[in-house]
Amino acid sequence: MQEKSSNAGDVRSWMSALGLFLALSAELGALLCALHGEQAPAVGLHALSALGFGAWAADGKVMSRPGPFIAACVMVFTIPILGALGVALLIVPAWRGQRPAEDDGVVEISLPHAAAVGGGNSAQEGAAQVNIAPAPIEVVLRTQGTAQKRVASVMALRRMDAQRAVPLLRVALGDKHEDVRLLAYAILERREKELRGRIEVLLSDLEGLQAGSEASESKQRAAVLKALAEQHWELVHGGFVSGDVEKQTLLSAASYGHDSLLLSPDGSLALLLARMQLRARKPGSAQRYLSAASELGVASSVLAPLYAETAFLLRRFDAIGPLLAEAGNATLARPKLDAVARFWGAREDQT
Amino acid sequence: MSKPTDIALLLEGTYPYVRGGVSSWVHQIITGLPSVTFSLIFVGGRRTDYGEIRYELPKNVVHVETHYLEDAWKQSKGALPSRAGANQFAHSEDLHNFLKYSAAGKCPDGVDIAQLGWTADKVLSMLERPDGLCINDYLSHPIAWEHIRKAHLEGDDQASFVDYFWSLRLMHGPLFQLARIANTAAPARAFHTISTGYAGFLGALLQRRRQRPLILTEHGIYTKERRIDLNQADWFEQLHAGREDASLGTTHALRELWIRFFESLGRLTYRAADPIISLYEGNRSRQLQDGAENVRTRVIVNGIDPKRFAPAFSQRGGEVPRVVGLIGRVVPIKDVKTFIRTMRQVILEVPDAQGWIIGGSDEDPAYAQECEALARSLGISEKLRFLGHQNVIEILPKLGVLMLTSISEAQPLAILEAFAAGVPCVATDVGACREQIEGGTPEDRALGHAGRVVPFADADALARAAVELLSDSTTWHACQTAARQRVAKHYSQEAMLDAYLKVYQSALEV
Repeated sequence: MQEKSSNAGDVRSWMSALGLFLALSAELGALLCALHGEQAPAVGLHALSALGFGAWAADGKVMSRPGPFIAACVMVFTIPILGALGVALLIVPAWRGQRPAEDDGVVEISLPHAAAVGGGNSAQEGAAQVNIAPAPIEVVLRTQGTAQKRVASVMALRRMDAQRAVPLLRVALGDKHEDVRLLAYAILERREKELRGRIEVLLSDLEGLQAGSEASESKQRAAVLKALAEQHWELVHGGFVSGDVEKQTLLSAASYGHDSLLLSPDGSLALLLARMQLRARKPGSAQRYLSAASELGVASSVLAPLYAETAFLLRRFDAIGPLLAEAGNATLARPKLDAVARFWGAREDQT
Repeated sequence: MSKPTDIALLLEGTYPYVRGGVSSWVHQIITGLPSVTFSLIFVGGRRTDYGEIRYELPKNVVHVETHYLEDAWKQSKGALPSRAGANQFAHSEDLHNFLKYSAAGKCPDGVDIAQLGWTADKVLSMLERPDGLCINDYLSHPIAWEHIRKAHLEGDDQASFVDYFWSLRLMHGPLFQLARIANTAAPARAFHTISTGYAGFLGALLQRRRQRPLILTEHGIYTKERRIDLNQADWFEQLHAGREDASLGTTHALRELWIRFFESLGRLTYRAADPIISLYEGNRSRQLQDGAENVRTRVIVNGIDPKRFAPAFSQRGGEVPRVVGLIGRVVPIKDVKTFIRTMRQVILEVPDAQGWIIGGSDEDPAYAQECEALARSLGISEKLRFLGHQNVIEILPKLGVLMLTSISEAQPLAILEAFAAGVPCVATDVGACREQIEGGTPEDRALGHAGRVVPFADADALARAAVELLSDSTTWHACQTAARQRVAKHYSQEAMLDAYLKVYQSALEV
């Protein structure tokens, strides 16, 4: 699947380069024809030039929004006298278009299926086993094995970490058999209830601290705020919340975390805040928290994958491979990260 | 009380002490059939969970008795000393084997399941009788101990024996208490239980002892609801922490034991009851799957009196109120938390919208607190109101949309009442909700949709549906028209009462 998409990318790059060459040559030809008073060939070459620019701009690497640019090319074509100048001027915004906005949307493709990840690298056998684990459950749930098997599969999710269990429980919520749906719901509900219960206790602790003495409260407040940030993050990271509720929960998590950090510098919390910012697609803020984490002593090998993710959101794709290389084997052994590192490492080698 | 009543209603955890859909239905049946005399035999868990009687009892209710299962371990006057012999225990073993083989759908070669069933009936009729088993036999007889030990080794050895032993005691105690209740219950010409479970078991005991008909009407499927409770119960996890081998996906032995126990009560009730009534075809299928005999089952749909809701409809103004209401008890099965999450999204899209939760919060105060905390954490406390019980005739004209987020339902009366008052509904795809909102038969479906049906626990889908109805007046009015036509045509109270009158008459003729 990845190979296919890589081939398609190569074809687009070639067409883009060819388009640019054609556009510049044709526009030069059109200009010379116009100077010699040969209007008809000038217009024809100018049209060819506009098409060439269109092909060049259609490559996503050239500009994140090719649509308006193509429209501009067509418009320029309709004004032959200013055509050469206009098309030349469009090169500037086209190149500027390569700079991503901070909140620019990135089209995500899913990682290879967990079951397929484990196949290759024997050096990562431990990680591969972790990745393989949920696959049989997912297969049972998705391929609708017997109701009894699906109930057993859902029961097995009770002890699995939330990040892997929750998506599978959501699959089970759509099961055709009511008992499977209800069991999945019960497990989801209980796990979320535990988290929200802890949040309620922490909020009441926080209220108590506000009434306490000033000298002792700073550290305690920081600890409670940090715990609140962590529990809210668990709701998001575990997939218990979605849509607007997720955004709201993430905001609360970041707010508690930030307040805690102001009271008591903490590298692990800065790191967590960076993750929250990345989840919220705010790479600029994430970078600031990563810098703070670094200053607070968090190892660069730990920070590297998050810097790589930041680079991805900022569309600095060439930086991703080297950043992941900094992460070191121990960090890259984390589930799914090894596959990501292999992908970007291979890309680095190709370029 | 010397003269038997026509019908003794066997009520577990519901009317007349708890308000809700089932209680409303019971009240509706009693008031709608004034020519029939009723006695009420209420069975509850703990007396602290129930307060005063919540309904004004109609005149044709001539007797009420209340029992609490927490009294199972009190040595009541009716308890007999242990004196059973090996024969009674052999019969008890036959009853357990009957339940085991019936559930499995097969039995070993040479075993006569019909004979086992006959013995099982005999055990029920002799429980807490001088020639049958009594609670003291169960608690202290060496053969009882031997049976428990053997059952543990043969089928439930994944559970620790201590946990297993005490679970069995917790299960069996109330059964002996129900047998004592059956010994002294007021006479009636027929019994009508509104669920399986403990009330259904009492019904089976009464049917065997008094040789009078037992009618069963199941609104929700009791066994399914107990399964939900057991899966959600915190106490179970805490009590048996560490006993589960989740990594292999095996089910928790003791949890399954409890589920089997309730399934067995259901099976014994189905065996004794005729007719076995459900509210819609889906639940009838479930009853068949759980052991009910096909020829005894039938469907009688809920119905309401449109005249009662005429004032609610006439009070509506021209505008669609920007209020989404949930009518139901604040309990986990109604999934009120999803309603709260939904309202967060609805308010974002329709800033003047409000969410009203109309129903009691006293049944599960901890859950109600969690719901309020969730509303606070989502920052919608000001736009989400917990109104408690309200008069539906007064509240329905103020709603723009009725929303039901339940994870399990039968055929909710709340939807029919909303329809009669001209309120479209958004409901989860559970029970008969789809049938109610989109129509059951082709003729019914031709009336159009009276709202929207969405998957359960999906706040995004619920919110989209509610926003669509609140924002699109044409769609809303089309739904309102379909709702009113559907309830008038297919859910009449008259038809329901007529069907029950016939059921009662047929039972009273026996």
